[in-house]
Amino acid sequence: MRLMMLIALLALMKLLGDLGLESTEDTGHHAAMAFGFMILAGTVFADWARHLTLPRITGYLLAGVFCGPGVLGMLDAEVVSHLKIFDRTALFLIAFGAGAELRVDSLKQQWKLIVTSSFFQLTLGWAVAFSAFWLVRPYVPFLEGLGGGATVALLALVAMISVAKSPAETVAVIVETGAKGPMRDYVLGVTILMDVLIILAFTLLRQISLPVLGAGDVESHLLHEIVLMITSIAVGAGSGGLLILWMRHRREHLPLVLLAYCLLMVRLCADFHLESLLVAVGAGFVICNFSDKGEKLLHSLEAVSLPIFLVFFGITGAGLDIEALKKLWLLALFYVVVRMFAKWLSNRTATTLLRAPKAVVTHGWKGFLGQAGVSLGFAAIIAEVVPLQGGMVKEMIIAAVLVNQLVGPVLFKKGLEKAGEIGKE
Amino acid sequence: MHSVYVILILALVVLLAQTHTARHMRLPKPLRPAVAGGLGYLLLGWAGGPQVTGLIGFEALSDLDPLFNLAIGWVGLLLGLQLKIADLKQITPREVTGSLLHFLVVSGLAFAGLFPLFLKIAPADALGASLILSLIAGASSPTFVLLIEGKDMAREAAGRRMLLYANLSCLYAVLFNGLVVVIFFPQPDLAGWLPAAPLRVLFSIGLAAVLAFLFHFFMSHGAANRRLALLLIGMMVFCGGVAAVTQVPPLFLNLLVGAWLVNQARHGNRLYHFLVVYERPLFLTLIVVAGLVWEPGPGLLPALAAFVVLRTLAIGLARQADNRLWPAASGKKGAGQGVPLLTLLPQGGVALAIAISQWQQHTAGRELIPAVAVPAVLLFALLAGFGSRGDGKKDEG
Repeated sequence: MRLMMLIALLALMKLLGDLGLESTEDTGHHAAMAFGFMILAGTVFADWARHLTLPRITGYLLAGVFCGPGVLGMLDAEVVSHLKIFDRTALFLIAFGAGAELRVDSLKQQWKLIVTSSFFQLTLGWAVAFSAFWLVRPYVPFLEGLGGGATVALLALVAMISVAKSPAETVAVIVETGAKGPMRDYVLGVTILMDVLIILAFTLLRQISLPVLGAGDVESHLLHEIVLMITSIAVGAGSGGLLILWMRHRREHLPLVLLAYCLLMVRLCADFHLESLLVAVGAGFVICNFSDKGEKLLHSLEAVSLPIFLVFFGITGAGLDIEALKKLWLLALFYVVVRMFAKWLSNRTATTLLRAPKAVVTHGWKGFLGQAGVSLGFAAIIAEVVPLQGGMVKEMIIAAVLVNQLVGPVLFKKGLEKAGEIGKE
Repeated sequence: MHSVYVILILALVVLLAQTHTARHMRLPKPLRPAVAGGLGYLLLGWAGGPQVTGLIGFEALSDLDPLFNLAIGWVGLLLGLQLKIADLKQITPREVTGSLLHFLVVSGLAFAGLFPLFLKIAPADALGASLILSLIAGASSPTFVLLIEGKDMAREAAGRRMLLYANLSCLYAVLFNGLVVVIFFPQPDLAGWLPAAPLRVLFSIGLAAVLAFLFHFFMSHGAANRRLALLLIGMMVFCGGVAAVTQVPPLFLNLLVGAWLVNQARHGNRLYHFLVVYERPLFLTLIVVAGLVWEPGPGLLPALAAFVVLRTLAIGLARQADNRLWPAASGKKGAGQGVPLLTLLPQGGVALAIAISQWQQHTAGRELIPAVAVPAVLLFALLAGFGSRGDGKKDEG
């Protein structure tokens, strides 16, 4: 019945368009209608996803894809740009939640495992992806016409992109399922550490690779990135301290204060080129581990989590390009499979070496499959400096991200179920 | 400086100043309702807006359009969700007639005074501005009335009746505003397609009915709190978009949708409680926006003075007439004793929401309406505060 209602709402929107009621000056009005439709569609899709024992965010993503340029075309690039402020704020809140979920106690217990696994993902995972693409290089269109050195350089960057993962998906699945246990802590820890390491590793690799690809002057400085990261964490921790002070003196309207804080931080990060994810994680971590306000904060965050997830994943879904998947589906599929194998192998190796709990050894890799913003950002950098080959790389990554976005949360939820961490008190 | 910094820094200053004044300063009694009702936020918006510092331009406001739609939709839906048929049946025909007459007298007198004045000040906008402002004049704020008069008011028969009048005045203002806009200031394409005004009215009501019918099916599955909250947000944003495209006032549309949902949808009655919980932040958003869009023009002073004087007189007259027509209810010794004549003077969210939605959507009186309505809300809170019996400590919202 609700599908019929969605179709009826669509018909209504079409009717209003056909009546010529489009001469209003602001395209934002149409954006509002489309955005409202996406939220309603998101609730329906999320319900269906739940019936199929899939995570809700898969429903939100599908609702975004459904409303996006590939299917209905309601949320096109212009409309999505109108919603950017909500998207960024939502991402910040998600990362804030991730920091709040990290506990010093569990990190102390698992730090060796987390560091080792991150190291293996960066090295072994990268090597697997690089080798696989190297083996099939005659069939890879974006390597055509490149010399030996350039091929190695470009593949090195592509392999590094395959290592990146999406922290937002990890947090969303954890919050939605309420999972508790070693696998949850492990995946969360590795995800956040990897978020730092991958940016540094990519920057380093970019400095080495791009001159080989003939990109000329490369504006990328490892030291600069390191300073920015440290500054980001410091700003996050400092602002977290200020929030603790605020919560001690004023108790009312905490969700509102949090929202205002996030808006301010998102703006600050954009203006000072700080890594907003690290700022948010730092703030959440400080509040939950160095004050007694953690539970209160998490409660406030949970109260607003559903709209945040819907907005973020809906807009992400709308930004996914089905056309790219249609064009490069075989290559994208190869990338997805190779990446999956690389994640499995690096997780298996690290966890077996350190004798991690069985659930982590068997199912841990499922938490590292989701991929989103960071990967797309890296692909965009390559496309900018080497437009011809980089353009194709970007299309492949966009297509693969679409698959990974849909597969990642499902497998992670299943993994948490199998590990027996869902429904634990 | 970016608008986000400005808003947040000023909001912090206002919040701290409010806390300080509440804790350490004993404000004069007449000022308390205005301060508690968000005076600081109004000044905050005005100070950061294009008229004073210019730190936030009108262009920057369009980025936050969905948020304004949400705040305005919230007011409309909240009103609609109070229209449960079972509750409405408890209102006597005499109360309905009395409140309607009260509203019409106030609005009619305001229009009679404002229209000739506006013909001189702003001839092009005279009809639109005076019509909408006279409807705004008819709306009183039940929350502010309670805030100013104190909780004891609800224990008196006449006090209860005045609260009912205030509630109903908001309803009339939104309904008449919807009809006036659809009849006199329709969206050009809609006017071309449906030249007859009654047909446009039917179209608008039909549109709301269709939306409400569709939304009610979304609510038939699952009643988890967060899911309902999501549906509410989706509905209001969608309604805001439809209202903007068709130029049917969003308050009107949301009110009709709310009225349907509370009577027909499975979890309709729970929606009201959600809206009340989140009302305060959205009310404050509305006040900040009202401050931002306030644009004093050359004719503001006479227009504002006329509006305030006319409305005050009209409310006094209407109340006198009401007392004479139904003396048993309010004139009897002990029943209406002590309820001041100008009890219905304070205005609140509905007046601001109508003014802002006019500013957002329509060209007729676009600047003039908020220019007059916004400071008037403040002045009425101060005026009412002088004759109040309450302590002004209850929070608005």
